[in-house]
Amino acid sequence: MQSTHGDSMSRRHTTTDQAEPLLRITDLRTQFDTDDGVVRAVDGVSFEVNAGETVCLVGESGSGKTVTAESITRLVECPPGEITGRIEFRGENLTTASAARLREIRGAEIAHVFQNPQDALNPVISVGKQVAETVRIHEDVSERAARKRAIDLLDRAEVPDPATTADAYPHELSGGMKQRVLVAAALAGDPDLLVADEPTTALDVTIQAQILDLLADLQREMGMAVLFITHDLGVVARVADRVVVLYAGKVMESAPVDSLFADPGHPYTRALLACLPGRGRESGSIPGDLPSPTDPPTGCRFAPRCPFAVEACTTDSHPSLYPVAQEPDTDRDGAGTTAGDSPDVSTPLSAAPLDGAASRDLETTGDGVNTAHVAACIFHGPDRDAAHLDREVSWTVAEPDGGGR
Amino acid sequence: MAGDEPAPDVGTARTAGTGFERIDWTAVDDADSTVPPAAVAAEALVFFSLVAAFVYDYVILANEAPTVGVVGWDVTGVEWLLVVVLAIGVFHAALPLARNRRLTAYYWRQFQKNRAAVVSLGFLGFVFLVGLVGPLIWTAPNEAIDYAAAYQPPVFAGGSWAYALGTDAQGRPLWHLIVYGMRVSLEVGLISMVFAISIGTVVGTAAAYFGGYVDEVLMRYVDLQQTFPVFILLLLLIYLYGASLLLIIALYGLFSWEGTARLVRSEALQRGEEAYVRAAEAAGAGRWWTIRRHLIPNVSSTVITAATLSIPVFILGEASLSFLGFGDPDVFSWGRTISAGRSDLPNAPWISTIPGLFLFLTVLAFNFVGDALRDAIDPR
Amino acid sequence: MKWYVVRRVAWAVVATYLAVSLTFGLLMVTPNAGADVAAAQAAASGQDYDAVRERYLERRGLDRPVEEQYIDYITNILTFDWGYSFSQGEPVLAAIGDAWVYSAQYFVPAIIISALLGYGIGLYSALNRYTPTDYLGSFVAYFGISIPNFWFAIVLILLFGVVLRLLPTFYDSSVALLSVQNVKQLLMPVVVLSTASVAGQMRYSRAQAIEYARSAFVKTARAKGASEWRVLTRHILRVALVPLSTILIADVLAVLFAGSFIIETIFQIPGLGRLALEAIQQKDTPLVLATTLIPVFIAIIGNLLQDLAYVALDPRIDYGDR
Repeated sequence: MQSTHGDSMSRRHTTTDQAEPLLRITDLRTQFDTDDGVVRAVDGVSFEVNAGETVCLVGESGSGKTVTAESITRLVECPPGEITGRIEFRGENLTTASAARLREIRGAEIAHVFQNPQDALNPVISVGKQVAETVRIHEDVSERAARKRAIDLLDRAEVPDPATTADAYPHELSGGMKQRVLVAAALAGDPDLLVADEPTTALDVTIQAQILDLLADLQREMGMAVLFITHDLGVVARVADRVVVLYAGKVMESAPVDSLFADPGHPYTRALLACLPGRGRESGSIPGDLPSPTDPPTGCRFAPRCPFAVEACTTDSHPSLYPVAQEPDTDRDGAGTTAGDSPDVSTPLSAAPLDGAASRDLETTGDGVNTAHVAACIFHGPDRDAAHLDREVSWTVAEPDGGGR
Repeated sequence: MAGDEPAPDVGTARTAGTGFERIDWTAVDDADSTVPPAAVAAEALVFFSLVAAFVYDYVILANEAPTVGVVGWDVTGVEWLLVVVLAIGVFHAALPLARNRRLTAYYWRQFQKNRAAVVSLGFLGFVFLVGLVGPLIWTAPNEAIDYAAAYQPPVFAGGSWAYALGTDAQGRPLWHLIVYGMRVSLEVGLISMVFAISIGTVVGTAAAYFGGYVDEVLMRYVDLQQTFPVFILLLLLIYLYGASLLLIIALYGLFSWEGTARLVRSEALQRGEEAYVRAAEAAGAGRWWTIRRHLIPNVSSTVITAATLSIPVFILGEASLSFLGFGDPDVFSWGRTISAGRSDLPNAPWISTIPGLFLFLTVLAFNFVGDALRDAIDPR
Repeated sequence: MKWYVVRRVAWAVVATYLAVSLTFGLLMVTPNAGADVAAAQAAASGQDYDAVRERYLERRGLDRPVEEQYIDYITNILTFDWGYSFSQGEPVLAAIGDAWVYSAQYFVPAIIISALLGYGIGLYSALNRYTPTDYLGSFVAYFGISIPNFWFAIVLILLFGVVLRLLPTFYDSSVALLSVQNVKQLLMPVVVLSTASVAGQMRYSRAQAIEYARSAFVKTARAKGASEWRVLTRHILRVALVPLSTILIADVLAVLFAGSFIIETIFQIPGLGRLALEAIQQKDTPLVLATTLIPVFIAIIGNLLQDLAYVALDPRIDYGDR
């Protein structure tokens, strides 16, 4: 079942009211004390997820996306980790919640699916018992009843012959099958939010599509929100309602999916898109390396690799998230613009950077923060000309003979 | 601030032109792998002269005549072995480390992170030096018997500086006993370790490389040896053949290698599957070449850690044997001194406690160093 | 699986047979001290040394061809006719029967303590890293594997027996087995014997548990909302039992056997260890062989149990491997 952009519009529409978002993360910072210094894996990340929608957290390895996901329910080992900021789940701040409260939430309200199905299952316990475990933790049911539920869930996860498979051990199953088991286990508690950390990366391409479809179906059936973590923009295009782009622990851009692909506001997003193979040009790679996690550069984290960077990019602090002016472009696929009005750059309110308390202001434009398209680049800010970013650049590696920039 | 030009260097992070082709592979190869002919010649010379001296001592000289007449030193079998082991250490441990500065510096930096290990290393260096050279400086305990000075307490318990650590029942200064004990521990630890590691590495690599029937037989034997409590075997054999340090060292070497063999075999099996070994074989490398150049260097980090951590086991084992009375009666192992002091425990506790403290600290130091070494060179 | 069990048991039998034959070989090689003693005594009263010696051997069937003696030997072992100990003045079996109780009463508690404390602290440390308990545990572990047990025993005796006078300095076998006094005099032996093996177990189980504590399936369990206790027992422990079982018995036994000689010597416990040492010193060959065969046999059984436990615990094993 191919999900087209048309479908994504209907997905999105359930969320444009002013209701509280299901999950609101504000200025999340997660750092680790290591021998080499303090690693700031997540350094001021803010975004929201509304009920029923799919938000994709995108970034390369080391961008902090996994740590962000694991910080939500404090699955990060603290110490040496330390989580600060606000993580509001249905209004309740999880960063200050007790361990007991977090345990109640995990599995029953917020569930996780991890990346590598090989390692995510206990090798000496049968698969059915592991699916039933979620049920037994949160509800007072007998072992038989839990097993029945487990078989049901395996069936919904499209595992063939669920009754027999329930007694199998993980090593007897294929990768795709294991991932279905993990999905079943995650859904066993009937959660409102599913955090899926690269659930298809370790799988065959053919299986990937199946698992993505499965997730989409189950999400629709159960009315869940999904926080989907991935580095694969192809997956993003397929499942996302909104996208949050992370780099070096900070949010670079946040936008509805169509808006992101049609008009990426941040040079890093453009780089990611340019590096996708098969877009009519040769795929490239972004020259340079990730900044040091213990000693990040001043200014914009991406500046050392950015072809548009100017001196102001490397001074001061990392730029705030500024709204990106939408190009009024109606001849695109019918989905080039967001459902409501684009935030108008000229209104006085939008001159303010988008973070923390100021985010409330943008709601007056009529659409809620959810449909805003923002990017952390000074060229979208006041006194700057966004046209500076309109140049065509080549993202391929410079030639050895000294050509290129 | 419209109209800024992009600063010239900010946009490009990778400088142009460092191509793969520019690396001088021959220089890399030479620096890391080949041994300079001078070192090979030196090693051959040293070993040849050792063999010659050994033959001279055992065949030509009369039994009781001292080997080095001028000092009156009759080199015992164990001491010959010690010299050989030290020579091996110089040529195969110290020299490669000195030549590969970068790697050594890296290991040292990692090692330094563990402060307990650094202190321990210093202590072990002290024990090594004193144990090695001490018997040449301080007189042998049996020549220092002085019943008039028996049971002197150590200086911090009311004694005098003349006998800083006190004396035992025969008036022998405890410091002398400790120094000679260091020498014994040194000998047992190093020589047994070299024996056991050598046998274990050979067996393990052979089992891994030849596989099949050879592997099966060798591993079954390793199973057997691992099941059999070695200590009991030692007691039995000492009972049969009499206690001598040489025998004890030989037995430890012969019956303690199964752990190493297992370790080496599993490492070698893992490595053998790796692409570079297959590539070497596909390129026509012979078996010995593959083993020497690929398998052995790569299992060496596990082996080095296992070797370091086996030394305290041997030292403790020999001390236990001596304590029970199964040690070499001509040698002043710490175990023997501690055992001798047992009957005087209420009135002269220092005789048993001080040597024991040295033994404890030495073993502890080896454990700290071994663990830190493992963290430094074998991060898995 | 069944086939594997059969093979393992068969191997245990083979190993026992080899051990027994090896000891027979040694028996053949050693001079018979009993004969020498008898001959010396006889010579002292004027008889011919060699003649007496020969008659001594002949009477015991010790001058027959090797093969005959071998078959006899094996049969005797299997029928529990283990010969006569001249140093104890009673049949070997009787001497062992008297001694083993004394060994068991400190040995068994030591094994139990090693397993429980060793694993318990190791696992706890793994889950609570960087806490004071963890550091204390590490310190105790280093201490335990480094301290020479005989020296530790001496220091403890000095401290608790001589200086503080809280515990007896040696073992009095006339004390009733089930009395408080007996417990007091067993306290130090058990502590000393357990120390080394507890420390070893602690380190190993901590390392294993840490590896598992960081694994993805533990994270999955936590993500389901499992309590720390559930994670520890149903996930980490359950999986860790597989590699832990490999050291459960063999390593512990090896340490304890070696330690028993020393413990019994220092504390003067009349157990099997001391019996063995005496036998060796007196050159009482039949007794020597019997007392050394027992630990070997226990070790073989221990290894067998361990291997069986390993395959029972891990469903992934491909039985073709071993």
